Amino acid sequence: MLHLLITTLAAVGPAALRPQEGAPVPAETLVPSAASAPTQEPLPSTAPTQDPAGTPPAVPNAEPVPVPVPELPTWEPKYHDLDSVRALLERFAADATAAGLVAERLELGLTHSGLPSGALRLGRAEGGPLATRPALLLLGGLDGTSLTGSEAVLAVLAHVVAHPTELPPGTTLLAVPWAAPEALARTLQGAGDGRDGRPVDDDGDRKLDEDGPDDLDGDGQILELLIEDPDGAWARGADSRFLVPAKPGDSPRYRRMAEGRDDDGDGRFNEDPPGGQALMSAFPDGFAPSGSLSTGLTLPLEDEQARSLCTLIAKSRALAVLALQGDHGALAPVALDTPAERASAELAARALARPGARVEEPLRSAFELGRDPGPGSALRWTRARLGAFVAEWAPWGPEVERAASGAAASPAAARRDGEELAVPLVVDANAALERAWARWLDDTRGGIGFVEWHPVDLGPGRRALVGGWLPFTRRNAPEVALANVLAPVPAGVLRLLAQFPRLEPVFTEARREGELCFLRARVSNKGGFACSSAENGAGKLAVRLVLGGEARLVAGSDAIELEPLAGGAASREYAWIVLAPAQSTFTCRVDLPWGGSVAAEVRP
Amino acid sequence: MKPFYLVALALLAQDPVADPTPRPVPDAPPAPVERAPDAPVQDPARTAQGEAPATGAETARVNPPEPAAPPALAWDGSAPRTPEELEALLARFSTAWPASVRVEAIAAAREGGRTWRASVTRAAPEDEARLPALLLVPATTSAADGAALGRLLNACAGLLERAAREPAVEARLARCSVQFLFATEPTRAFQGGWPEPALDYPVGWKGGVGRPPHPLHEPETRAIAEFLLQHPSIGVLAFEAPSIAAPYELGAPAEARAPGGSLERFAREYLGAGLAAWSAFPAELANAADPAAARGVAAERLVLLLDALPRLEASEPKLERVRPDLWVLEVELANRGTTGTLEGSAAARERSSAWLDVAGADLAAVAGARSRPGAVYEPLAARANHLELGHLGGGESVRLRLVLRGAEGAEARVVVRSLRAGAVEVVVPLR
Repeated sequence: MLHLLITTLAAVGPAALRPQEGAPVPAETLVPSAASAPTQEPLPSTAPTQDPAGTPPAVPNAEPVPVPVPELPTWEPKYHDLDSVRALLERFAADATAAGLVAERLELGLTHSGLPSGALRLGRAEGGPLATRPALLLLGGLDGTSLTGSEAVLAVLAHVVAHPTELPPGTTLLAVPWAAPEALARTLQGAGDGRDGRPVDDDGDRKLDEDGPDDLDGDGQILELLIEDPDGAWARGADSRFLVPAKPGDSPRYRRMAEGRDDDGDGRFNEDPPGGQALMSAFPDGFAPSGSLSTGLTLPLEDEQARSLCTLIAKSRALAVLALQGDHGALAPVALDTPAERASAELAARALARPGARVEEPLRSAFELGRDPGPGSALRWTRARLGAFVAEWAPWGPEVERAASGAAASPAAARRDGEELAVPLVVDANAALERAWARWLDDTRGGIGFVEWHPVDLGPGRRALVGGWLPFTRRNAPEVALANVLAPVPAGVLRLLAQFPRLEPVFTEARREGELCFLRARVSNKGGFACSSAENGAGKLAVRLVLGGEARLVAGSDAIELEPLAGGAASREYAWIVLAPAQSTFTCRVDLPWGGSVAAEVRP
Repeated sequence: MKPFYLVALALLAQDPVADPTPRPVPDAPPAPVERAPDAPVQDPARTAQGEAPATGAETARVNPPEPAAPPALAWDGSAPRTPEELEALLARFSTAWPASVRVEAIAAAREGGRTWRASVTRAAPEDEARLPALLLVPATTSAADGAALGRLLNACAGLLERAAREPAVEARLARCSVQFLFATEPTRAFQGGWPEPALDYPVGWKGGVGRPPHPLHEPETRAIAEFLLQHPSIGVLAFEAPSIAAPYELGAPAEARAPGGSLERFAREYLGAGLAAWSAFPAELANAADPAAARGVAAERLVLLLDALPRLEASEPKLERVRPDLWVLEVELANRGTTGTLEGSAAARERSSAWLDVAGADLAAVAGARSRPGAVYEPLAARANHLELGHLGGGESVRLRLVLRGAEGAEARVVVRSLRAGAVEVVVPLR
């Protein structure tokens, strides 16, 4: 009789419900919050101390002052500031625990101006420690401008804690809703360009932030400025409101920049605004420093927050990483270089597709969509480091409201008027996106949301045009549309998680002839996702045959390294001959690339 | 000949020193320019080396002289074996040469070990950060080698001994500084054996299994990187490489010896410093039983290395009156060092490493011709009496033609400052 027992060897039960002590995150950068972290002993003190802010030292035997417990907010589809986001994370952590999920609140380091940043790790109670499960990492607003992306991450968390059974067992959801706190705070205030506001000498003139944007036309908005220039890179498109990359012979051509005057009189406009470092481009992947030696160069991962985010990513064991950002409404994988990566991308695109939207156009990489992050790319670094499937997923785009309302889906709409979307050039992808936004503006918003180009005076003899998209139109969804925009996001994420690999070792033969036992086994991936999307050595499996005390291996290897298994695939069969007394049991154990192991036991 | 003054302003080598955390530069008052006396003062260092004395005066606030007799250091030249021994020895250096060496810990490892800097200069402390600087470090590949540490310490001691007894060396150290870094990998430095270097700097950094998640992960590495960025006046980083025959190799041969993730590569790429592989002793002395005996040789080789530092000089200017209030001033500006005012990719990244300012007259127009004698003067873009000169390679010069507008009798002052090559001032009465 063949006894096959599938056992998850990773820790389960009450231990898994506790905060994960010793989670692979260095103590100096990532600190579990008080809700989940082991309490640290206060350091002994020999003398009364006073903090720099002048807070008086604690007085012995003083009456305890009741500390008001802040009421935790509930999530609503609107734009939140950092304080609200952090309060929501506390709320989600509390609700998740109450709902029987395992939740870990993680604190990232501080930004240069002292802003805090947090993360939340969630999973079902069963399935071992969160840190040893395959994880989906969601990064909200990593680009520093996509507040809609941040809200999308919060929407996922709100949904999961409200519907805990929808979270697939054996997986971890790791969410960083406000991944770039400084830049997102600036965007929320209407001044963001994705950078963290640290003073940097962008133009190398040994002055800091001396030529930034200005409201030239007094409308209270900083929009775009067009300066006519025969060498400019932009020209008006067929719809003269919108610009397209200039082609030979195009005239007039424009230089395109933020609205503002030449504050420092150097003949250039807004070339040194309040800027700093963009977290998206601050990672050690071909990082290029900015600034000047005279006033200070930027180093990669300058902030403690950036370094702790980097460490969190590196130790996340994420199989898939989604940066929720952008205005294209699509999934843009960082690369599509390997068959496994392409397969993961296609699977992810199907899982994340909005209801009513068809996935018929060929997948485009971030580069093809003009979203190549450039030197220092956080996403490229993540892909190389983890061997994970890494993509930008834009919850907002010109076709999102169409899809939500059940109107024509994106490819068909894009082909209206004979326009062809599927052109593999960045400029054409950009042009198609511009046309789609034009349709959105006219069809959905009745033209409201874009300020027509109008002339402004730049000083003696110089004229230019000012206009462009109003805030919370294109870069981020209008707040009134947020509920519809975000509604399908959680389901997509959960569909993706449900496709994560589920590895099972299976004995296909267990036969005894006297003292000799003949064993065969293989490993199957019951999920749709591959164990690794890259070809960098990540995702390998270690298969071991564990023998009892008196058993002796006659043939076969007791430790085998398996290449990563594709979704739905099975390994070849491995065979062993073992000399063992009657009633001996054998275990085929598979060490998983993200930690923990699964095993099958047999007694031939 | 028209009367003029030419002043080398080594102490005004740069604008405000960079900070690792960029922050706005306050409206600092202009750096004081010390006018040269009418009579030129000879530079003993130049005279000693057979150079023509500079026309003008060096302006340097120098420290009090050291005792004429070299102090007894009571050190046999052997390498310290523990962090405590290193710290104690450096303290003895400070005591022996109080006006010439300053020692401080600039970084600390998680495990507690510290990286020490010894700054050797005859200039006053307040000017030190602005002086062109030579940085000496152990090679990354031998950062854990006790013998390498010993050679560097002997070179430092040898230089201090020579400066105390030779006015020429003392004068050179009044115009620049030599910065030594000891125990750049403090945890490994005293471990013994040949532990793998951390290679934690961001240029050519490699991740992977067992590696930290990002470069500058170790606190001492980050502190050293920030120290370098705070000192953009470092013109040359020399790492001690005992295997080379020549006193030093500059440029490509040295760069080939610097592995990815090393301090050397970082200094080259971020700081745009010249990179030199430098040996304290010739091969036959490298393993000498008495390292102290070879100290003088190391000092001599160090003084030679100072020639690699970029150094601005200006020729005698020519003034021509072309209109009643319009003057053409021609002057040639040269980098006399063998290293550029900015090197490598940093030279492409930064717009300029030398800047010209005019006072006492209006700069109506300016043109320049690089190096070649017959080169055509090309118009240059100046704004508000300020001109970015770009970069000057090692040994490169640029001839400048400045059209000045000013009343007869006015005194035009042309100041050229640089990031790390010192500064010169040309003062010309318009008459």
